[in-house]
Amino acid sequence: MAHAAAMLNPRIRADVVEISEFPKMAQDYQVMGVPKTVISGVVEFVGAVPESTFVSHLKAAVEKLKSPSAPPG
Amino acid sequence: MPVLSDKDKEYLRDTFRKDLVNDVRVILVSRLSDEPSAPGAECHYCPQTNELFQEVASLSDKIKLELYDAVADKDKLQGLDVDDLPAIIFARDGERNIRFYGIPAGNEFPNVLEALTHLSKGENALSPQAQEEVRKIDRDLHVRVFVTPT
Repeated sequence: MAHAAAMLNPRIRADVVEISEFPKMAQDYQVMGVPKTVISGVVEFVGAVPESTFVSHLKAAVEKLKSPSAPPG
Repeated sequence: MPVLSDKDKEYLRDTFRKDLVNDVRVILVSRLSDEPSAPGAECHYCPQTNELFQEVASLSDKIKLELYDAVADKDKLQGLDVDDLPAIIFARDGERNIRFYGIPAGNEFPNVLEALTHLSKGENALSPQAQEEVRKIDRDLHVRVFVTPT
């Protein structure tokens, strides 16, 4: 779904990462279970989710990034 | 040593012949030589990834593969913002926001094929309603999906 979203909107960058090849990234993002999705460092979830939930997570990330205290995307 | 079996190649060749419509540009950033790279820039899966995608690209003239060495071609890769190696980037219309990092083995390989096909056909896996909502997003988002091959 991440790639599908990126195909529609050039403002969305979607990376699928084979975490077994990047142990440091697994540590940095605390990947304990897969799939794990992290959106701009402000929203994260583990497991596959329905399409509507995925879109909600994208929108939640946008809202969180609008907050003055949000980390850079 | 080939990565894909002859049977797999035949299957993929047929699938690409039926499913691919427009050209798809695939940018593969990896290490193309055995020259020592900087510490931490080793890429154990690069040789196999290079071979895999060269084999895949050979099965359809609609798959335009571009290979770059992360060190030797550093100047050409300015602005591409590659996080790790190997990086597989599907590019179209100047956009380069659809990426895989690491060799797409096991269950991830079908996802690569799906991305190729959808880009080539201009299709999308999301429902029309979801597509509309995604198009409205007006802020840069970086979505990372961490997976394993099994």
